[in-house]
Amino acid sequence: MGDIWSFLLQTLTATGAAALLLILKALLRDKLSPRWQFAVWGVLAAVLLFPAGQGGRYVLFPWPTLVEALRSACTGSFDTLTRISVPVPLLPASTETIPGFLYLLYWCVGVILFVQGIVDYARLRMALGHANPVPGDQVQAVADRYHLPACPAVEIPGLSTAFVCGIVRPVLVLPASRPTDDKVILHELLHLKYKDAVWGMLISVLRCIHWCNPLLWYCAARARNDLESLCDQRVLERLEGEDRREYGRILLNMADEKYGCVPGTSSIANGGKNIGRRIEAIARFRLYPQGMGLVSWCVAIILLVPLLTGLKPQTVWETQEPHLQFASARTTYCSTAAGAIDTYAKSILTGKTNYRAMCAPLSEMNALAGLEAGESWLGEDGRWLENVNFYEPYQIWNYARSGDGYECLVAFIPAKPPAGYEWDGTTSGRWLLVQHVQAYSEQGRWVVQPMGALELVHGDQRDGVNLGLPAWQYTGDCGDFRVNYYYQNKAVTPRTGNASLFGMQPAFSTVPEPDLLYDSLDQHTVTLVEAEYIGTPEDQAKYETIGIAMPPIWDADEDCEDLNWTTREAYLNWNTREVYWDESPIFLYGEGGGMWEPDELPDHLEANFCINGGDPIPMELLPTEEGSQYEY
Amino acid sequence: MNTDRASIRTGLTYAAWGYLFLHVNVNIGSISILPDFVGDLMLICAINYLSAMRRDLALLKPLLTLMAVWHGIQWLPVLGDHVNIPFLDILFYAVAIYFHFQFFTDMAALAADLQPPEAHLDRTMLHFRTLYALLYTAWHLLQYGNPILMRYREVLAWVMIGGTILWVLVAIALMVSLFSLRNAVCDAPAEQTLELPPKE
Repeated sequence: MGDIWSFLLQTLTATGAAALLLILKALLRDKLSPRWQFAVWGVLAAVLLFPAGQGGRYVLFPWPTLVEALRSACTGSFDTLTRISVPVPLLPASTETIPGFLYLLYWCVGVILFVQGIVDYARLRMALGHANPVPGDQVQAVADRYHLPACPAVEIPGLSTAFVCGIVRPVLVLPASRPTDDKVILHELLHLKYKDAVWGMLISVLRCIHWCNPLLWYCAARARNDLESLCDQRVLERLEGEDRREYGRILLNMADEKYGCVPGTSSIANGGKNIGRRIEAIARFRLYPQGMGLVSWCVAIILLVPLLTGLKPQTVWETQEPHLQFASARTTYCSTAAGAIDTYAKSILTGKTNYRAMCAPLSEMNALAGLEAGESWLGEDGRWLENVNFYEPYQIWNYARSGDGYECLVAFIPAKPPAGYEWDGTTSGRWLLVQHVQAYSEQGRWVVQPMGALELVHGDQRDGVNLGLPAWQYTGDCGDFRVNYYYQNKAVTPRTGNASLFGMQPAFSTVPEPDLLYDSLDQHTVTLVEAEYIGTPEDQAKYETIGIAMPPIWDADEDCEDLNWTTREAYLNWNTREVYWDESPIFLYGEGGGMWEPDELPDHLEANFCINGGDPIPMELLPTEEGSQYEY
Repeated sequence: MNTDRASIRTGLTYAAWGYLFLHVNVNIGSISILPDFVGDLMLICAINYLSAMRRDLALLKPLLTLMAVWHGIQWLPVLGDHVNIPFLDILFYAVAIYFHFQFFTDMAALAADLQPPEAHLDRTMLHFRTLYALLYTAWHLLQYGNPILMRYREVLAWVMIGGTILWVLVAIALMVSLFSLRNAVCDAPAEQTLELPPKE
């Protein structure tokens, strides 16, 4: 926590968890034992010690969104997101602004409280160093009777009740003015055995960190009391009959005593109101249902996991309050590259700025936030979208890893050609609006950066390949021929989604899916091979048949020795074909495709080339150095 | 003191059918025709009939009433799709797991008192109760862990389907054991009286 916003996020997250625990404890107060009542505070401790807001996730309430909205409203800046690396307050970086000054104030008070706790403990230890040692007979006798560890004991005049001080070298402190009951010593020795002072210390430290959160102060007091109740329970488990009633009477006598708590100590007396609760728990001692160990664990685990993992927002809030709406968009993280691309594509289709904010780099946030209401974030590019069919799924072409992220082309399908452009009405020839984009992870959220403008491209869709779009290209020469190999991949949203009473529902919706997995899309790998004649025109007519055989690109390391791979899948084997030369020197040899993609693009492709039924000639195709699969 | 045999039989019948409503959902459109809150109300009736035999059962009534209200709100078609409050969801998951565990602990104790000497309904109930609690916990953990383990989402989806089926089967087994206990009570010789267990 390095600023007031991260502290706010951490403490609010813990507040929600604390409220939940308090309600649940109230509901199960008379049903689960003090052991569970104390142990369940461990869930709150885990929430306090786990950095809040990881991956944009929230615990119970959408705190990250509320904190971001408040932050942007106070600072007017949108280009940062609140992050917590460690859940303890770090030195303030800047104190020039009001939030910076407030954080400094918070930090100073926290440090003062922490130092005060250490000083109190040190003073107490020094005072105990000068106290009169007590002969260990009574303490040792109690320890021996109940098989508990003992520790040195001292007595202090004026002390109202006993307590244990210290974790490493604990000391049992007894009042000098009156004899101490064995049951009180038993209580303190049980604290010693179970090292309850450690829990007390942890509670004190967490209370210092969240000193300005009254609910957490209350929880700290309740946790201390539950610790004492647990110790009471342990005492009662070791006592019988009249001794139990006597123990209750001892507690009752302490109800009016003053209570002062020093970190690293544990005392049987902890204030009148708290003792009242403990006596209630003692009264229920025999009434707690037995054999509840398993369900106690189950309840604790069912609380712990969701309170630690939290939930991830799935959709942005559609609200009139701009700060809240924008904060919701910025805190609805895209958790996958495909999710970010999907969100980006839908921000184009709908023109919604908050969709774009979900997947925009932080550096663009201020510009997006500065747009007037109703103004499209697309600017000039928005003119192309007038004819786009909202319900036609967008397409992702040439999706491939690039550095730590991915690059691809996002293509939209106009319902009719833009004004001034002609279209023959065929599916293959329809126009596409295409943009080259890059997706990468920025501070745990996937974002999309456009690499160029939206451009109108005249499609040339074949079986699978669209020659209107760029492709990965390999090429190689063999005699009078140049063989060109084109490879593209394409992914679209499945056409149909869930079944219902009214039949299959269309899967495509313009609501972003920030967690979309690329594998869940309909994917196709498409390839095309062409043979280009590069010899002299007079020799062209002597070539009547051509055969090309090569393994598919996703299986490029396959052996390529035999032209007739009769035992393989049909798409692997492009047999000899008659050549029909028209005016073009290029002969479209064949298209193929499949569902697989290469893990990595091969650095070359091997093929066998066969002319006029002759012997196969081995050849090699290399990636072309010119052009790119993203330039059109 | 003799306990009314008919009351016990009626209570056990309510309890068994209550579990059916809680664990089997049949929907028409988005409306459940076996709503959970009806199951809760039937279990409240069961507790009313059986709490004379098991004092601990009465402790569960406030929890069950809250669960019935929550399930009722979720069932309302007007609110159903909009009532998604993680705070209350988690709270009621925790309450529900406690409730089911304690309820069958009490039912097993009741079975131990009422079943014929050679029967082991109490042990059967305890075994299925433990399995139910573990499955309930595991299922909800997977539900929350699923988005984090996105890479294994498909595998987890199958695990959750399998877990759900197993969970429902265990719930049905518990339901069957309640019916068996009811039948055992009905089949007991007429001269046999049912005694309240001694007060603790």
